[in-house]
Amino acid sequence: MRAFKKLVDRYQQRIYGFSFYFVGNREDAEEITQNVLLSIWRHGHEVKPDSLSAWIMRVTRNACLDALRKRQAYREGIVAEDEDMALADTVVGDDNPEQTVENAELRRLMEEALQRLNEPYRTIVILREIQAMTYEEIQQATELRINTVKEYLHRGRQMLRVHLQGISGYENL
Amino acid sequence: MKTSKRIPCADVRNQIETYIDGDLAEESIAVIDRHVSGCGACRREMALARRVHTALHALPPLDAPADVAERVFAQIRMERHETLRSWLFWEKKSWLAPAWCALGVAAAILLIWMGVRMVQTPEHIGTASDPEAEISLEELALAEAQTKWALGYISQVSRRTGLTVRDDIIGGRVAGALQQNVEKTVRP
Repeated sequence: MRAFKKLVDRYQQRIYGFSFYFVGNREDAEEITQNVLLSIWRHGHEVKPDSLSAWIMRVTRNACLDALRKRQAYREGIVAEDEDMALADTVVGDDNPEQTVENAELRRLMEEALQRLNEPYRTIVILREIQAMTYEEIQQATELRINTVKEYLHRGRQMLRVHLQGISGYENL
Repeated sequence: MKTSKRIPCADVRNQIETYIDGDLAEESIAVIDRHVSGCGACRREMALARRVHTALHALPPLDAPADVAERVFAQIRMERHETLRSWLFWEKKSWLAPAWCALGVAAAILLIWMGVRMVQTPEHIGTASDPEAEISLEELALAEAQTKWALGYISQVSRRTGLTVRDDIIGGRVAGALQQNVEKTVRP
């Protein structure tokens, strides 16, 4: 149990963060995180230690896709208002209220644009740009070649630009 | 302006992300820089790409609420408890739960062993005042009391942990049987 608690400390932030940006709402992200942690408890010992991190991200991504399929939220791209507030609350060091509002708005736009990205672009953009995983880690998690990962990342960001231009409020960027 | 025509806008835009990631060769960087400096549309695209890049990096990694882990630990505790429960109370109401079977078998072996031993060597049962006796009546009484206490303790602990203890099994089938058997053997 102690070893498992260490794993929880190590991975729960990554799992929750990925899930939140992937599915776009807190409740689903919490449920996914809970289910993934339970999967680690039940099946983590079956995975080789070097592959554990990549396995966890694959399980998380699959859980996110399942959640989206189940709740049919994929096309709706629902982002609850309280999530915007929650994100705004996480700003550190923004003493300027105008800047804080602008940053919160920017995050809202980014989240909305992320919801519009198809797979595997969304996964790769979140893993690389938000979670700062290395290309090697992403390669293991996605089972894609590094060059393919880079290509998808670039295309994903290009698509984000296109999506942002289609979202109301983008002009204020 | 002349240099900006050396490479089409589409090519520049395809390379913007590689450019921002710093993965372009110096020559290519120079070509794009020249193009962008003379092309307003590509300059805006480059600026937007930089903002997207910066904004993505600025998204907080987010901490999972503390109660998520707590809920997981609670779920695991519950599952473990259920596993223990199903192990102890096989088919719930059946007193043939594996644990109790094992306990019953152990008690039965003990009783048989004690009975056989006492029947075969009654002269070895004496009193505390008889130092030569292997087993005194007082020792037997003490052993019986200790066995009953141990069984009672199992019952209490199980009850505290929320398990439905079959007191009738412990009292009637195990402790009671033990007591009767010992008494019958010692005082025929």
